[in-house]
Amino acid sequence: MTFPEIQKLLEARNFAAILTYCQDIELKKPSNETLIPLYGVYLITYLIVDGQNTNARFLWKRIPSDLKQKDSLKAIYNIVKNMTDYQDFYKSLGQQFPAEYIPFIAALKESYQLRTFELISNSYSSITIESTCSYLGISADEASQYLLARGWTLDKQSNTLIPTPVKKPGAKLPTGYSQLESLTNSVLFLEKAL
Amino acid sequence: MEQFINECRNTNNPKTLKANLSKFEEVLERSHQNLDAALGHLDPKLQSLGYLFVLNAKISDPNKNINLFVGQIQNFFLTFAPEQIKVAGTIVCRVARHFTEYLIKLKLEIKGIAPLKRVINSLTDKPTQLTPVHSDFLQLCILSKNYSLALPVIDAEVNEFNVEQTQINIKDILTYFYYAGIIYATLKNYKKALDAFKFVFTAPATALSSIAIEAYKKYVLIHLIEYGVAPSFPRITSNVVQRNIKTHCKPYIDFSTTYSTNNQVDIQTKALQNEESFKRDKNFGLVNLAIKSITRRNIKKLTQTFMTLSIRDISEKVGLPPAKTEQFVLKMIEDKEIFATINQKDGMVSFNENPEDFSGPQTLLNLEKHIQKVAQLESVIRSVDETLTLSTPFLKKLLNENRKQSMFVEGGIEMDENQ
Amino acid sequence: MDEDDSMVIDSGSSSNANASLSNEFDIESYINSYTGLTKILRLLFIAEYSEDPKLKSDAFKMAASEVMKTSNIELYHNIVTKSNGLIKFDSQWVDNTTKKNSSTIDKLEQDLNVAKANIVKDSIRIAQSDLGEFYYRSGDYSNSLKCFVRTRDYCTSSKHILNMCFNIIKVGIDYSNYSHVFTYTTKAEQTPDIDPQSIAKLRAATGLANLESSKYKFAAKKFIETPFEQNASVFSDIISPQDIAIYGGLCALATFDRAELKKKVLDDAVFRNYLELVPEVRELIRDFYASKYAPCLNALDKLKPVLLLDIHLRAHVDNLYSRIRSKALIQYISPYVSVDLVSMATAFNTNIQQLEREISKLIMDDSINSRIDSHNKRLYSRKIDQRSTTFDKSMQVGHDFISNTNHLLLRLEMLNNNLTVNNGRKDDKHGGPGGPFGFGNIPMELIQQQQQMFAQYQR
Repeated sequence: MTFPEIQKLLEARNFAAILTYCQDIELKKPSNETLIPLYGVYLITYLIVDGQNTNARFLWKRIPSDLKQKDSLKAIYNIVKNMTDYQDFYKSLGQQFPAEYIPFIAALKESYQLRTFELISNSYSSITIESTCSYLGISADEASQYLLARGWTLDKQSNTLIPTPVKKPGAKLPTGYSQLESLTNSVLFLEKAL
Repeated sequence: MEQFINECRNTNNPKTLKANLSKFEEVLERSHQNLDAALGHLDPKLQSLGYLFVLNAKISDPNKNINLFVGQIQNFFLTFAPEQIKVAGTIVCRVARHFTEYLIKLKLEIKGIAPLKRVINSLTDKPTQLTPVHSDFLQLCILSKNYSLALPVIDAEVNEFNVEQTQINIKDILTYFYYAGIIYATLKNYKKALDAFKFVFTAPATALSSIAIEAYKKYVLIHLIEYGVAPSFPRITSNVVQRNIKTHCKPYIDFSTTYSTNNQVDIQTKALQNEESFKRDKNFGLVNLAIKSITRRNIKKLTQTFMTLSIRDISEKVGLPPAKTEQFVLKMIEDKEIFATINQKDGMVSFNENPEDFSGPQTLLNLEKHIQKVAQLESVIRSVDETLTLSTPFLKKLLNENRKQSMFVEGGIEMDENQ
Repeated sequence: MDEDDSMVIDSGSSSNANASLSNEFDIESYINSYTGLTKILRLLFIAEYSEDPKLKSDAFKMAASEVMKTSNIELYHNIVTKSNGLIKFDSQWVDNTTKKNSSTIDKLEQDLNVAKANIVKDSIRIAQSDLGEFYYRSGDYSNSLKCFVRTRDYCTSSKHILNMCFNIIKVGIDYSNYSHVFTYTTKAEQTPDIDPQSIAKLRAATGLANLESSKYKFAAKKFIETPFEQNASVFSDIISPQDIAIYGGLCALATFDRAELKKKVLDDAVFRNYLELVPEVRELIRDFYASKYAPCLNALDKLKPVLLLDIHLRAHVDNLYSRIRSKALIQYISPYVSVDLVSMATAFNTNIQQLEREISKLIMDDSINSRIDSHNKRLYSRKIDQRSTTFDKSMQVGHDFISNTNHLLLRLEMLNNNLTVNNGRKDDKHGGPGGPFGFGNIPMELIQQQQQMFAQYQR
């Protein structure tokens, strides 16, 4: 990897910072040359951070057309395109990638699985094992392990799974002086308005 | 020239310096061949004003190397001292405008984003101030497809500008909102896109402009996507716009009328009938999005009618293939457009009410943010009100009114006497 | 109740089909309630729309024999053509009538000229009116209307004015020109010293005009306000007392709320007299009021084939019925928190799919606030969380306020600085856009780029 900063951030699994770093380079470096080895990582990081492909698609459009012919970039764009179809997405993850992309692909898969898992946990009151496998890109054996460990139950009669909804942690209640201050300000504002 | 450079180096107060440098403007314009050398003698960070004057003079040089010039401006915009260039807002804006045009010509739009962002930040005291550079910045974001980078700027909700400082004109203002509308629409924030386009065609006007027409076309289509019905004119729309704009967008009015009938086949036909004009306006994509949004809206309507409904019934009612319906519903749940749970065992979907109960910390934070915004707005309004009541035209008007009133009273007395 | 005066409907019969209506529908006693042109027009209408062959031929025959008592050759031709050979063309009658007609017209016109020459107002009015009446009877609509309208200038008493109005109203109704009916009923109502019989006739005519314009609530009110008239011949050239009961009852059922239904229809001392004439209608209104929807709707279904043969009602039957049905559904649901769709379907004599469709239509147009549990086939009334809705609304209002205020501030600043879109003729110190289409080319090039993106978004 030619970018030690990215390596460091990758170890800390700070993908948002990697994205900022890539954006910075794209905007500030005087020529495109510096970016060439970065585009692949840049694309995948967009997918990881955004959870959707809008920005990655725009990035693809910004990539110079001769670069788009590179096999490794084409393979990544394949992922971008298939982001909305669960089965195709996992299929496209199984392509051949250069070694430097492998940790990113793994991270993408993980974040995608986690997001999908949360979505189906909250959106299904019962779901077949086959559907779950295609949503999560795992085999039936893996599935039962993965899911039972997360509180799902199996309805033996119909052979369907019953998901447990995942609760998102809410924002913390603001406390302390800052809260008191903003409250005071609001009251002051209202009194002044009267 | 040497005199100019000395002036740059020796005067520290930006205002004095600007006044002094203005005398050199003509000299600079006449000595194009020496400008690059002059730039070499100046430090963009230390002698920002001088550097700016030279760049400004270089615009009119027909023989300059454009690539070099663009690089010079780019570097300058990223390094200048804000307090210096602030006194020369008009010149900065002029240089920025030409910079933008060169970049578009060279297809290097992305190079301008960071520099212009810095120019905007340096020219304004607060993010709610609009400058001519705003429109350039958005244009570069759009052309380089860096839409999301424009968000921090357009989310600031501008409400003022400084004519003396920047010589901003109506075109700058309207194109800013037009571009903002395009960016919001692209990122599918339709509500904000509508707000932005609305500003363009409701701006004070005594004539119809083509930017108003283009904005109105998009406004109509996005209104259909978001609300499913044709829009009506906001009250503040000027008469000349209300009267004339529709004749310039007939296909759009036709389409929106048909759209309101909710008949998919008719809508498709109407879209194809006008395909040519939509494509010419480059709005066919929006038309298709409007058509696609019908299914989503129909599913949403079902959630108001049913608590549970089978997947089969849903696909029948909204005209989707059964295999796709479940995915479609799941996507809508993901986008928080509907609240539902799918039961594969029975093949049913249960629609739930919005689980948001507006209690808890998030609501508190939201509310607080809103109150703060309103409080800030209130202080702006107060100061505007104060300036207005103290302004000469207002006082004159008031005085005139008073005089009229007293004249009327006197007249009345006279008549009484005559009786 | 006088048997002959009513529409006889055999309530014991199980068949509803129009095709065998002749057993249940006594056309003779029905048509005897009417006189004049409406009698023939109604017969022809039945003949045209009946699916029962016997009824059809009876109606044609009666229409033909009725029309031959008049001088209306055009209508006779019409009946013969429509009867498809059932009525033999009587050329001798036509020849005779044509001759008679032309001599009558000559005579009437002569009378009119004499009257005009003598300048006696009342004779002119009478002559003009007679001519109008003759044109009306012989089927010349526009000439008869012209003559009747001309009498207007020669009216000297309120009786004359009423006469003129009734003539025009009659023409208006028989030839479906209801704007005249509205104008002249209003005019007639303003005449002083109006007698109760005329009032009855006017109310009935206004009711009819409202019904034909689909203003059912007004129609219901007018029919109900019609004073009861023992002597049916007062308005028999327009409407029968039974019609008043049926038209008024159905319109009221479709548009009145429960309280109005009780007070203005069932308990109304005058209208009750009309309802007595058609007990089926009275009973079904009572059933509706008592929430016995199945018998009410059944009775309506039974009435339907006959109503479809009514010259004024046919076009409105479906509309009125669906309104009544929706009202019944809404009323049925209103007291419950949850409703079993299976039993509701039984109560409304329908199946569940049909019922679901009907209810979802009502939910869509906000007539009821419930949601269907299609899985368990139940309907639940929707609990609106006032707190959440209020929060939601106020957040939205806050958003709009902020956005609008910002825009207004900017507008103000633009106006203060003379920054407006103008046609560029005025010298603008900030450099106006120059020309109404001044910046046409600027957005266009951008839009071009834009399009590709929207196109690509159609996933």
